[in-house]
Amino acid sequence: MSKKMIVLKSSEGVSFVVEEAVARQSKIISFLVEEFPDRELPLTNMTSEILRKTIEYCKKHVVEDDGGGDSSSSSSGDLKEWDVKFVAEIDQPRLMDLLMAANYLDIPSLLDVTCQKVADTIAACNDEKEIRATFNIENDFTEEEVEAIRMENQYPI
Amino acid sequence: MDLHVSLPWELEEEILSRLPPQSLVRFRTLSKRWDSLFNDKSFINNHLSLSRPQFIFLTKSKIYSIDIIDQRVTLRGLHFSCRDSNLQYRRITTCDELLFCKYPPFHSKMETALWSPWLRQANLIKLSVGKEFNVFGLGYDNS
Repeated sequence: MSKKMIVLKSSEGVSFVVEEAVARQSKIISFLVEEFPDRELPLTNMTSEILRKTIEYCKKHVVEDDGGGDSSSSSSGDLKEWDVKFVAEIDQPRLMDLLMAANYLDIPSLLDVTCQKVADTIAACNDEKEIRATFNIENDFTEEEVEAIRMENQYPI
Repeated sequence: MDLHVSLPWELEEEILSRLPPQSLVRFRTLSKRWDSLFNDKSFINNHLSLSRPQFIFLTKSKIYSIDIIDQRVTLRGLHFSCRDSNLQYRRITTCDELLFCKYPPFHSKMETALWSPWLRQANLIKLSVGKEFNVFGLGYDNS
């Protein structure tokens, strides 16, 4: 039985032919496939590089529906390990792009691993300056306000 | 680190809800928006549902936090500056990230404290009853 394929098009106009089951992990694509069957789906705000990464993730996570057998899926432990490696190999700017893509395409598990990776990066930061630079966050506190907040977390008893 | 896009706030929140509590406290003073999450009930609830396994380990005089991240166990001493540094509380009950404890009987008043070692916050609870009581559990009243 041949598997149904769909075509996803990146912002550069590059076409990716993907098994429907793989692409359907995105709730948005799942919806679009039903609304517009047999149509190429343009993803105008996703670069080929990020789309390729997203597809790579979806391919790994697709639950094979071929009537069972032990090839049906990787064990959840292996999959988790694969996820950790997958995000570890991506540099920071691309990780943020992938996070945005997961959000845009509505792929909850990919959003989860990318958010967790960024959270781990933040937790490993030595100072606030580093985080402000990463997230373009302006310091809108005065010295006094900072001092007052710090006092709140100092055990009043 | 370099970032060429600004994240929408809801995604920032999504990321922050996955930070361990001690990092949340450390970076509370980053901006007013980050700080505001501290009093945001839905954020706190989301945080509790997503946080990774963490335990508090009490010895006679110290408190440790035990984190389990990707099958790695990390033991970290938590800052502790309680007025009475004797940790031999008779009863300690936990709920989410809070400890509820009663001071030992040698303390002049029967005092109870609600306490979060990760957030480094504590509140004394004044009891209006003069009698001794035991605490068996801690929970939420959502009504």
